[in-house]
Amino acid sequence: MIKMRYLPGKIFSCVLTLWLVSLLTFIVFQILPGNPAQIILGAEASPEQVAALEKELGLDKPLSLRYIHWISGVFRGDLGNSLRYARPVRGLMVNSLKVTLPVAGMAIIFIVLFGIPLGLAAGKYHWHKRGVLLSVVTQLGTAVPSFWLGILMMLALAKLFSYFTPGTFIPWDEDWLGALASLIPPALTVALPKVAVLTRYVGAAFVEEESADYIRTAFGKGLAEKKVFSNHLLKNILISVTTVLGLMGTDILGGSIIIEKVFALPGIGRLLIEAISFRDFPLIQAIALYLSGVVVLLNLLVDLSYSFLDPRIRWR
Amino acid sequence: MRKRKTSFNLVIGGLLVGFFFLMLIVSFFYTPFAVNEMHTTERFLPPGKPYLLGTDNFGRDIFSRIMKGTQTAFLVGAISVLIGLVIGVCLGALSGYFGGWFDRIIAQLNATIQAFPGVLLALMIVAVFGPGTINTIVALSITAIPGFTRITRSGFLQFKEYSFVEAAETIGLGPLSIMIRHILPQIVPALLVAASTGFSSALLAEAGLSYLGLGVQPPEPSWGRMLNEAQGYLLRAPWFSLAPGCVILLAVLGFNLLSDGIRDLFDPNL
Repeated sequence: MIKMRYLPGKIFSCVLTLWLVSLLTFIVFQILPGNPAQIILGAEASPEQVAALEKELGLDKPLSLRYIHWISGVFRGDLGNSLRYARPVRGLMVNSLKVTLPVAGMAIIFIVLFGIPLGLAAGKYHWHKRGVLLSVVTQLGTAVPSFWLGILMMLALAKLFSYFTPGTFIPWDEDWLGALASLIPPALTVALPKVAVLTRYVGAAFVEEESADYIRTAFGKGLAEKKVFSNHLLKNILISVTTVLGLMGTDILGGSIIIEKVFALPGIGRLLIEAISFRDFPLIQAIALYLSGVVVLLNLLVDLSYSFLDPRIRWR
Repeated sequence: MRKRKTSFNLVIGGLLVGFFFLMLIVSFFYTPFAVNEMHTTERFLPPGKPYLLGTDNFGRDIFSRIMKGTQTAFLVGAISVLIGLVIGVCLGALSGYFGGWFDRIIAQLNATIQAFPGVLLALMIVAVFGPGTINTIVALSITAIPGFTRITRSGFLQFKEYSFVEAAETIGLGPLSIMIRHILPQIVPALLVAASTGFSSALLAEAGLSYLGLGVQPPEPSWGRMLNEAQGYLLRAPWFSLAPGCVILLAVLGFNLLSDGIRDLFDPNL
């Protein structure tokens, strides 16, 4: 019986991490040179105007009070106003997530759909020519820069199907099917390098588990090969696959920041990059907190999933 | 069979990395054309003579720019991996060897750094300090620290229980000399593997940041930014997009294979 770390301790550590993230992102942007009031009003604003706006934004209060004000807003779902767009950050983020989350979701579906079967094939044909070929392809796949893959994908679509429409994302309520279709190439771009990673991982797990005692026992008691693989081998591989997928979630989020730029999609990544270029601090803080929140939650879920998937592991 | 495959990784990886180091060294003395030399009448020339990989939107030689880009990529990669390695090893050694509250604080700080997915931390640092080569190096160094800390910490945790450490303690060696002279050499292979993988991630991250326009700034050539510039002319001059991408792919592949090769060489179970 493997005992995991004390569960409340784990959750406490996650909360602590998020608190540190919020504190760091807040403080760093608040002590930076560059007055947000000045940024909003432009260079020609009079000092009186700037001072008035500072008061309105609460910038004349001490740092600690401003942090408490911001973080209590976060708990109420109020993320403040964007400096550049002069609109609530929350609305901007919700709109962007309507693009980013479907891309990430589809990417995960592609990864599972291609990665697991290919990985099983890679494991089964490990010593065959096919296996070696697959290994070469996946080795290339793990090394390819995802944004270049996106550029190649656009080139291929343009040359093969005369389909070249970067930057023309169709809003969901206009034509949801068209929107979904336009998100497939970016989702594939995010997914393909990860498919290679998962294939290698599942392949390696297959080869390792194949020589385990329980497999020999299963064969020894006369179980058919198919049954051995589906009932015994696959089960054990899937436990570790869940972990890998959970950790990949982080990469998918990080990767989509760049991929959205390649396909000019109005997602959270593009919002973040625009926010960074314009030093739109409330927006940057909110996006950073959101993204790291997802990462922390994913990691926690991965930890929790162990005890569901593997009965030998129990929380203390 | 297994033996042959392991040396295959090392040979191919070594050859690729060697090729890039050769290109790096040569680029200091010679490039076919000056990096920023514009031939305005010869824009978007396809690969051929005299421009090996064609010319870009300003009529600059793509091959020369890729050669010069090796300097940027390797400078950013090497320095950030080195800084990450040194800081990571120090923190990991202390927290693995002594444990206690220091270990907990370091673990929490690492968890905080790793809560930023992918290039987000680097983007945040660039958002604070502005884009540029130095800030890219700072950003990637910080991103690299947790990985090295983790490897060093688990190595120290494992080896401090061994009898050779006990023996060293018995003859009266202090913690510092046990850590440096007895435990550290044991984890050098693992660190080498991590450094090689870390280098390839740094290459990818630098290319990504520069592609976003937030990494290395003009006029320094960078593979990532070349891709950014090339994308606007994707249909007109596909080779402009293909060449830098292939180069990034090969460099990353080389260091990945090298890392696999080193791992197999020292310990297949690592």
